[in-house]
Formats: sequence, structure tokens, C-alpha cells
Amino acid sequence: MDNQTLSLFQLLVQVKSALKKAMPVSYWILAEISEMKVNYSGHCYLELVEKEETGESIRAKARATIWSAVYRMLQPYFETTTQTRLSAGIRVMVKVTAEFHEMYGFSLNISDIEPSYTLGELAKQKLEIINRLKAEGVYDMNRALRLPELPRRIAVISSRTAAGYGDFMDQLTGNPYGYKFYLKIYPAVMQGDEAEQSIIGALDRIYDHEDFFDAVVIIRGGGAQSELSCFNGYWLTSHICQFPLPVLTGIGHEQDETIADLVANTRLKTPTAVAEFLIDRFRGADMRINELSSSLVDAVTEQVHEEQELLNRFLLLLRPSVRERMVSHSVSLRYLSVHITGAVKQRLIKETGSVNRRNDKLKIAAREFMNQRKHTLDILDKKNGYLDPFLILKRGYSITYHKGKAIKDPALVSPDEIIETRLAGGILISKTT
Amino acid sequence: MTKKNLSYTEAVANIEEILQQIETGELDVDELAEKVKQASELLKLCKGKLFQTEKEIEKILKDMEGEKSNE
Repeated sequence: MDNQTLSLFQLLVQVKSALKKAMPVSYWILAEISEMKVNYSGHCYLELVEKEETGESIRAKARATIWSAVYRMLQPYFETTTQTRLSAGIRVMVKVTAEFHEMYGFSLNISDIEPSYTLGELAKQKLEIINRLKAEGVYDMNRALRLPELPRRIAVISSRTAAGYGDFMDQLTGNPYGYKFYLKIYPAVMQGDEAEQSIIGALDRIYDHEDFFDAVVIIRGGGAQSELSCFNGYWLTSHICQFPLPVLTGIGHEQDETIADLVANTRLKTPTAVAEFLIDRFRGADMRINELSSSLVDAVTEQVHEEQELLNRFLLLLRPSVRERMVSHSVSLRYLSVHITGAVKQRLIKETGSVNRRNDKLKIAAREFMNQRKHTLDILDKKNGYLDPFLILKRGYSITYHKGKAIKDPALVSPDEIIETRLAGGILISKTT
Repeated sequence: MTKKNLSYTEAVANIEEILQQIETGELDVDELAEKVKQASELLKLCKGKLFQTEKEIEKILKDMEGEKSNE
């Protein structure tokens, strides 16, 4: 046999044409993307691998390309259907043609992709992680923690630049009721390949202040729906499960729950929903306090009322006996008064009798007395008649007056004094010598 | 008497206990006044936790911030 010597190029051209002849059509293949890169011109370069059923060791590996014209259509189609980023680490079903290039070697040219396969694979993967967490006995641990009635001190894991983060902080600090929250941000990368480790790092930093915080909030405002794979990762979800503080999620996605949502103490859809939840919890506590306050007032009022009732009942018991006493007293008083009136009347009658009798006696006595006096007066009258000065003057006696006084001694009158002598027939005026 | 560092949950539990004592009529009038005073202090504490800024907590947060920049 002739040994034909070929140049490298000649050989590789033969390989290329042999391959083309042997595998002229395209094939649907199953593989995992181990590396992926999109260059400046929009072409996508990947590395596809297949691992052993039993472990992590790789048993096949090939380069692959998606030309930019195809990639521009396939990427959005895949990502909207699966809500998963077309990236390293996911399993895909792609339509490929095997190609060989004398310059670049063997490569698979991807012309189509089947998202439902990846969806199924992701669901399977998710289920596997869930089962693993359950098997390890950690799945329910965070959910079993009791969220304080007033979660006041909150560690927030988010990206500082995320719109959802700003809204969340504003909502809590400017809540309309004036509730006081203490918020501390633990910045983390919330999407992409670094996200899982970054969030775990934030959890570790919070763990150092476990006693201080009441709860951890993981929020991711906005961003692509396809960036959620980290929240389905085993390591992050396992950390959330075993974290000693209740974890609240507001990862912001519409479709399937991530494993992080499933294992978190409280799962909410968006950062806004987390803020509302926290404010509502305060509101609930606020109303409970008001309720307790009014119940307390009611209970005290009632007790005071009861004490009053008791007093009133005592009073009611006391009153009839008092009234009885009063009635009996007033009856006896009335008897007394009747008795007294009677007695007084009788007495009066009796007294009136004796007064009348005395009166009669008095009248008689008085009449007798008067009679006696009259008699005496008569006698005196008669006697008086004898003594009348006029009668005496008539009998020739006279009275001499000096200055209106009767003169009983002539020596008392000086000479040349006018004297009056009263006679029965008139007055005689004379002068002493 | 009321402790300053009572948690919200503990405070509410205490108020509920007092309320129950009053409602079941366990207290005589003299005890009542004392308990009502205690309950109203607890209520004030709870309200404070809802609305008031606690300097102590602010300080811890500030210290954490400092520790952060050292990392």
C-alpha cells in the first residue's frame, strides 16, 4: 500500500468532508452547559459536557457555537419560556450539526433549543434539592421559628442599587402610622453566578449579630425573571433553612416559587409586600394594645360597678328595716300625740271646771268686797260732809292767805304785806301793820 | 414592678394576665388599683416599642456600621 504523505491541511480537509458525509443532518442532543460566553459581535461560544450518571466526572465534552443571528432569537425564546437564564450550569436539549474546521477543530453548531426539557430538568433538580433538604431534616427549620410579634430590628439583604430596595426602605421608614423600624442593610449581589455565595456571605455577617436582630429580609427588586437560579441553589437554601432568625423573602417573581421561598419563614412576592407585611404586623400589635387598653377599662369599670351594686344591695336590705323602725316610731309618736292631746284636753276641761268654780267664788268675793267698800265709802262720805271747809267758813271761820299759802302763825308775816282773807261771802284783801 | 427591658411579647402577656385577674374578679378593690397602674405602665411600654426611637438600639446599629468599615 502506498504511503501517501499529506499536509496537515489536507488531512483536516479530509476529516471535515468525511464528517460531513457521515453526519450530514442535524441531531437533537442532551447536554449540560459548562461554560458560556457571548462575544462583542453577538456570537455565543459554549462548552457542553456530559457527566457520568453516578457522579460528577465528565465523560464527554465539546465546544459549541450559536451564531449571533440564531442566538438573538434563541436566547429570549429560551429565557421567557423557562424563566431561567441561558447560562452555565443548566441542562439543555439543543439541535446541533457536527462540524469540523481545519483551523478551529471540532465543534457543534447549535441551531435550535427545546426549553421544555430544561424546565423539566430544573423541576427535577429543584425536587432533588427539596428532597435532600428534607432528608437532612432542615427543610422546615426556618419555618418553625416564631416571628416576633413586633419585628422591629431587621437585617436587610439586598443590592443597594436595586429599585426595590429603595422603595422597601422608604415604605418602612415613612410608614403612615409612625411605627419605628430599625433597618440595617447587608449588601449582596442578587443575581448572576456570584449571587448565591454573596447572599450566603451576608447571612454569615448577620449571624454574628443573631441576638440583635428580630428577622432577616431577603429582597430583590426587579431584575430579570431568569436570574433566580441562585434561590434554587442547595447551599443558599440550606443556609436559609438553618438560619437562627426568621427569614422573610420578597424576591419579586411571578411564576414558580423558588426553594428559598419554600423554606423561608415567611414568603412574600415583592419587597413592597414584605414592607406591607411588617407594617401590618405592627398595626396588629397596635390594635391589640388598644383593645387590651379598652378591655382593661371595661373590666375595671365593671368591677367598680359590681362593688357599687353590692353596696346598693346592702342598702336595699337595710332600707326596709329602717323604714319599719321609722314607721313603728312614727306610729307610736302619733299615739303619743293623740294621747297627749286627749290628756291635755281632759286636763283642760278639768282645769276649766276648777277655774270656773274659782271664778264664781271670786265674783262673789269681789262683790262682797265691793259691797263692803261701798258701805265704808258711804260712811266716809257722811263724815266728809262735816269737814267741808265751805261749811266751816259758813259757820264764821276764815282762812288767811299770804302769797297763796294759808297763814297759821301771824309772826310769819312781815308788816306792809298784802294778805287775803277767805270768808264764806268772799275775799277780803288787807295790809299788815 | 415593670422591668424596662421587658419584651413586647412579655409585656402583652403580663397585661393579659392582669386583665384576666380583673375579669374573673380575683382582685379586691385595693389590689385593683395597684394592678391597673401596673397594666397602664405596661401598655405605655408597648406603645413605646411601636413608636419610639430607642437610643440604645440606634447605638448598637451605629457600632455595627463602624465594625463593617473595618472588614
